[in-house]
Amino acid sequence: MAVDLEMPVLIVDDYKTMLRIIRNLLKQIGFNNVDEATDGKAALERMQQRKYGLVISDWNMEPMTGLELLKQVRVDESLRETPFIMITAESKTENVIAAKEAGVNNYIVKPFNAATLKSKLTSVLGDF
Amino acid sequence: MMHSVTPELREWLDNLKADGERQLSAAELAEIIESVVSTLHGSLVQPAENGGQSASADTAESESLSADATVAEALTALSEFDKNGPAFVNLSEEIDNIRTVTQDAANSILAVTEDIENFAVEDDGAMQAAVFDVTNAIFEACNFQDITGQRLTRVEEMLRHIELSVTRAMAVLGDADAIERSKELSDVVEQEDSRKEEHILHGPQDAGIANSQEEIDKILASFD
Repeated sequence: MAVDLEMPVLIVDDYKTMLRIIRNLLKQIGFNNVDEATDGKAALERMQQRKYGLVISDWNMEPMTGLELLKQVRVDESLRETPFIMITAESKTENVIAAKEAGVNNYIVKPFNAATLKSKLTSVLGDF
Repeated sequence: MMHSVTPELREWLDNLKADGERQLSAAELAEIIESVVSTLHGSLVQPAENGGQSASADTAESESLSADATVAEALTALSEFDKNGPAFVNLSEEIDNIRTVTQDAANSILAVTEDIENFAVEDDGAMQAAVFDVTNAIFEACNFQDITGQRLTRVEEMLRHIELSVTRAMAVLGDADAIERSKELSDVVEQEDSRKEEHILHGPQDAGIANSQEEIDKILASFD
């Protein structure tokens, strides 16, 4: 089944520039229904108000990090199935393992390119 | 090594030499020694005024006083090297300015790129694909703002650590303002360090140390 490009996507990053970059790259792929949040806490509040088909989140944010957001999502009965991709400059092995153990679906290291983003989206959601 | 003596001491010593037969009392001898040590101490704590000469027969106390004075002077210079105000505060402001300027620049580039894309949206053919290739490259290049921002944050944290060391040393040497400032900084640095440890935050890694996307993919695959 083809990916539903109309599904709501939530992108989370404390750098507005990065939100803008990811939004534009998603737009090129065909996703136009994109919401934004600037930290894990704000993202969680949004997720409790709207059902998202995908979350793309940074790691290092205050007051709630991307890893904390991921853990909160995975323990919430109504949110736990939401596909979750981490996009972060945290590239150490211990970070990747911690994210995987918390239930991340894929992991992109910054700086990234459009091809990597598209490849990981395909891996998580299926073919476009 | 020659040391200048006070005129009073010089006169006294000359009189003693002239009266070579007279024996010194213990009190007189003590007074002379005290006067000489005092002269030596003056040359130890103010080496520049004495042409950079140092005493060869320094006492341990004199050396300690000299070292303290030198360290205090160096620390004060370090914390006040910016004539426009407190150096460490000004450095933080400069870093904030760099962050703001690069963020504004990146956003300007992105805005123009979005305009270019909007023109191309009207075209369904090869032109749109070609334009998207170019704009993609621009979006990717604008990743720099996030990475430089995180690196600047790390520089700010390092500066706070240096400022804490400097203010702690100044506090030990008796600077009352430094005692208060080092307490404030200590709390901030402790919170930052503990947050980084708790949330596994390292920030961007240098090439060669950082895991590449390919290596990360392998780590993820090892869980399957």
